[in-house]
Amino acid sequence: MIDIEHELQEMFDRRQADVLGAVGVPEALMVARRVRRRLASNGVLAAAMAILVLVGAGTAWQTIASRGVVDRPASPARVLDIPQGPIASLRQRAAGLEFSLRATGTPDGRLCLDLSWSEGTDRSCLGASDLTGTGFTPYRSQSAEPWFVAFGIAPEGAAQVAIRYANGGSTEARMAAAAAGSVRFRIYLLASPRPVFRGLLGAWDPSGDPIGEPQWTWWGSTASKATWNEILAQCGCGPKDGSG
Amino acid sequence: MGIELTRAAAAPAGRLEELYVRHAPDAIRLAYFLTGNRETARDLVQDAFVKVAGRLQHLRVPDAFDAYLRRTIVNLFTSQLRRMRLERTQAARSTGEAERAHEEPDVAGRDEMWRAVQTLPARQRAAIVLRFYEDLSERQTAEILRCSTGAANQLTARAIAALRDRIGEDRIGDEDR
Repeated sequence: MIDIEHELQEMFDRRQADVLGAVGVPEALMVARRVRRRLASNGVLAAAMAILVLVGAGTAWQTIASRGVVDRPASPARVLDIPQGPIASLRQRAAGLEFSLRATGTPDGRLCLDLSWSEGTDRSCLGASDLTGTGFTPYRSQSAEPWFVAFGIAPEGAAQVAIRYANGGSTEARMAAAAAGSVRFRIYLLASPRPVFRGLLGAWDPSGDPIGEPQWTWWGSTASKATWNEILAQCGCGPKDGSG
Repeated sequence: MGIELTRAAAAPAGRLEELYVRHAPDAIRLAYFLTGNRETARDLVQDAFVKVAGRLQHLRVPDAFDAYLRRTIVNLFTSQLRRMRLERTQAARSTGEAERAHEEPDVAGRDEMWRAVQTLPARQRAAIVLRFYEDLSERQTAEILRCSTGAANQLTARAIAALRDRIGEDRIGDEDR
């Protein structure tokens, strides 16, 4: 039986003498120079990284600070006040189901949207301040229905409403507000994966009469497939959680 | 030692050279047993030293410079073996026999155990060198090889079995002759 471990140790002992490993001064100098170069390049690299981080942070901050303004004009429209009483309403029959939307100004100056369709009803309200500015204010439906409503000022200065069903369907409606003080809505149903809600609901003035011809307004290039996040991304509002 | 290393990291003239002169001989011997070639061993140690000394200020335990250096040598050896083999093959192709003559003259014929160790796969060879040359424990060997103690033991056991087969064959062959 060969004692490999013993023979290995013997071999290593024997061969150690072959490799003295002595180090000359030139070699040490050369290696030290390489280390210093590496340390210097590490420093340069760290500085470059720090600059990149600063630039990145600055850009991110600028983007956040000017969110909603970059790449789109500031909104000329500001909904200063919301008249009390009925503002707009519309009714649409589609695929055998009736869908109606009523916008009402409340005594305390809020705007409420009452949405009813054959499957249920929903009410969402918010104040005029939520309709100003360029932000896209998320608003969660107060009803038990799993809705999520967001109001805001559209890029071209229109007030907009996007409504999403947390159960998977989605309806994005857009409300174009006219000049300050005169709340006049044109409400479009932009897209919905649910055929029952697909289609233009109409455009209505505060008295409830239609304004001109109904128009299709697409929020995305393929509005019928546009998702909530795509819509929010286009308005620069960023994705928002619409669940629940 | 820690203070000394911290000073070396600050890189005043002479400190790094001293550090290299102090640690290189042992490191070169280790690298030689791993690579089987003096020049390759020296290159490996220089690369490892540059790597470790370049991070001197960031070492968690500056006192363990030896251990870091040893680990880096083994890592470089196992990771670069393939590349070095390729380079050597290409160099041999371009320079022909002249290169072969420049290699260790005693590797080929004199020591069957040495020759057998050189035929082991990189990690098995590293396990053998760490256990029987560096005299490290199973745990230390496993740490350097970045594997479990069980896996390190298995590497060692396989290496010993392979060496036993190889040496046994050689001796039977010698007896037959």
